[in-house]
Amino acid sequence: MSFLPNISSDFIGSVIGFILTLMVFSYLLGDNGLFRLAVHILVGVSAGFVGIVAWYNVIWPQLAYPLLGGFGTDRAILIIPLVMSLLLLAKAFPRFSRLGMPVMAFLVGVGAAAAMGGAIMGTLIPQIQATINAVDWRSAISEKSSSALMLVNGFIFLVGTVSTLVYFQFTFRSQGKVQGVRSPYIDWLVQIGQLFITVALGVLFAGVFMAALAAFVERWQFIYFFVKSILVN
Amino acid sequence: MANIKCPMCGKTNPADRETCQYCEARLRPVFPEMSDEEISKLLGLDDSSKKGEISKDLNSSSDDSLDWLYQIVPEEKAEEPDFMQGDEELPLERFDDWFNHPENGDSGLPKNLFDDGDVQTAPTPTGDEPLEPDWLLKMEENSPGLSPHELETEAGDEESSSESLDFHSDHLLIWNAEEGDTIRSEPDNREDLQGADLPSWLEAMKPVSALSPADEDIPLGPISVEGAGPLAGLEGVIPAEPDIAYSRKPFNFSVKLQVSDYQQAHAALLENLIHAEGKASVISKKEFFAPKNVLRSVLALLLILSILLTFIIPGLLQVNAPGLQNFPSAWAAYQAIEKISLEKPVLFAIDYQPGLSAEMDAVAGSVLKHLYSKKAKIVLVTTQPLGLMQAERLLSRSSQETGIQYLPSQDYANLGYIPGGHSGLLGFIADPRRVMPFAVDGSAVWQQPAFQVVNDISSFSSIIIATEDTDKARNWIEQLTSYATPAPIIMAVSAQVEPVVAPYFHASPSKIQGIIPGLAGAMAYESVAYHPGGIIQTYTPFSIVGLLAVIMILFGSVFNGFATVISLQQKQERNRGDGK
Repeated sequence: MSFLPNISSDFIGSVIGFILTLMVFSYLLGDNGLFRLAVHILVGVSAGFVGIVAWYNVIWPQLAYPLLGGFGTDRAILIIPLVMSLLLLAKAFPRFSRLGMPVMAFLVGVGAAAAMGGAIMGTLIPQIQATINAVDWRSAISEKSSSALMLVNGFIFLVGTVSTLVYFQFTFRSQGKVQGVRSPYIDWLVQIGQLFITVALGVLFAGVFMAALAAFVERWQFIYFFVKSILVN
Repeated sequence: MANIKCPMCGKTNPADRETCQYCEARLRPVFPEMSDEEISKLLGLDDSSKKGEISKDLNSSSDDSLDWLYQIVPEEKAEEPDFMQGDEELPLERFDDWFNHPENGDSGLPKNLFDDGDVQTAPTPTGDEPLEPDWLLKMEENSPGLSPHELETEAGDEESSSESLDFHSDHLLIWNAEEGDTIRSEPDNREDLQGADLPSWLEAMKPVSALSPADEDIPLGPISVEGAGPLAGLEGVIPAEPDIAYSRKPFNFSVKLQVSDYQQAHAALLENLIHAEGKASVISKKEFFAPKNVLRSVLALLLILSILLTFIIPGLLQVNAPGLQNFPSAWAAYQAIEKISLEKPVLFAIDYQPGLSAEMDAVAGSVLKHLYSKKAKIVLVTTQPLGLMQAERLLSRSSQETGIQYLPSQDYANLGYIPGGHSGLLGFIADPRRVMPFAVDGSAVWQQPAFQVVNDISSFSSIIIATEDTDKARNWIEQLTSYATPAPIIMAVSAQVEPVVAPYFHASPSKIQGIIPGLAGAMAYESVAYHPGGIIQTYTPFSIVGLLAVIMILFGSVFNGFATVISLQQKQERNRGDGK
């Protein structure tokens, strides 16, 4: 005979979620122990979950299992990442941390190369191409419906791109003992670029605010329906 | 028996030993105890007849006669430089004084020195001239018991070293006088010296001559005689330790830094910072009912009440769902998904954190439900560890809402976490089979019939990325476009990411084929793609709270603006009052 009612795992999860949500919202009254406890639980659970994922999703299927049950060539190739992983582990010990430096250098170098290649081929060149195409009057004319609007739009793109890039020019040629000074024309472009950057940051902030507001609404929706389900049932 | 301490190694030796038993250094002076054979061997003399005489001369410290020295003069004379040629004769009487030769000059000098007889010999001392210098004679009178050698050593402490050096320089012997030339000697009276007619190359050596030992301005120490060791009995031996090694008072250097007031001010600032770092700051006790806390609580209460009101009274405020025509990017995404080939699976990246799952579940869920309705095969991946959990959760919720059951390995495959950041993602795009060979349940996903068609990234009918991180969104787009994948790319993103990815959509040619931005975009998308959507339940309070929040922000901005203007006016009035 069980003294506990028939409780589903969803209900237990909902109770825990309800309590943790209230603990986080207690921050409205100021920093307190309940809020900090909830944050610590979040960090601890996340770290534990990441460790499990690293073992079951990366180390075991991609390294350990092929090494133990793979064929000769595959096993020989996997010795390289195994040795590199062990060398990387040496960075945890200050005495042997130098052993992990070549592996770290390899990781950083490959990662930087991949990021740079992607940024140039995936963002920089397409952005330049798009800016050029935006002010292409021939293609604008071919679009009979809104050629004038497209040209205006393209001109705004061009000015925004150029002025924003000019804003990030911080080096000047010095003139003797006098420190470098921007020319007035460049100053105007910088001011325009600053305007575009301000608008872009404002839009980003609005997006962050909307995302946070959505989370806020969803949590109170959860609290309302959870309390209602308890009261009704 | 007393022991003798070795002057070289410092170790003690028996008193009867002549050399150190440890370092073989001589413990006693050489000459007093040297036998004739030793001396002759030392000097390399063959004439046995002279041995006794030389030994006698050497062993008698009172006699400075050095007849043996005349015998080692080279027989052939070298050519004499011009500046050494002159008419004056060398004062060989002083030379004889130095060697203390009592006999005539012919027998006193080495015989092979003037073998040819052409060179004039130095005049022999007359009976009127003393054989010893004046200063030495005076000292002999004062100390009759001492030998001339001891007297000279004793006098070295009292007399200047320049005089001693003058003595030696005056008695330098020019060995290689040219044939027919007379040996010159310096006159005793230095004031009568005439300027020498020196060659130009010698004039150029003036700095060297200025530092010659004959310069009286250079103080030199007394010449000491070695009393023990292998150099015992020799005088003027260069000390083992140079004078610079002797301890002396160090020079006083000024330690005052040449710094400006500006630099001093910065140094003081840095010093204060360092001192302040070690001091514990007093934390003021926060008041619970501080105005800031009260204001924050009131604003939160307003927002919470507005949310709850929409749930408690559903018909109080009606919000119309945004139309898809207001979101051209979402409309483009809808059209792209409608056109996908169902023979190929769709790659769906779930790349968002649990913190923003409220918004992202709605956005990604709207697309996923659309795919469910089309019975598309789905391959799920993520580039962050927690995305794996989000993917399973999203699948479960979508199945509940649609009532369509998706089975793993048949309808979908969750490949899980792609490690390695940029390079890992690039590797997956280049070869998905090799980088991710297994699903999270351990099954060989690429062997399943639904996913056998996948060979590379272009094998997918569409690529959908759901993320709330601008960096991850950009990373996916950059790596996919740089690889020139032909599959359409659709971004289901948070509202905060939409401004970043919009240029990729609006570019010509566009790099992505559609964007579903935020909760509003998801609401518009779902209204077309999947009519019985549940997002409207969240969207209504979201719209009301959003409007209320905008009003609060505007009110706060106006209030702050007025407060700033008022405070500036008060400050100006205060300054005017102070000016009066």
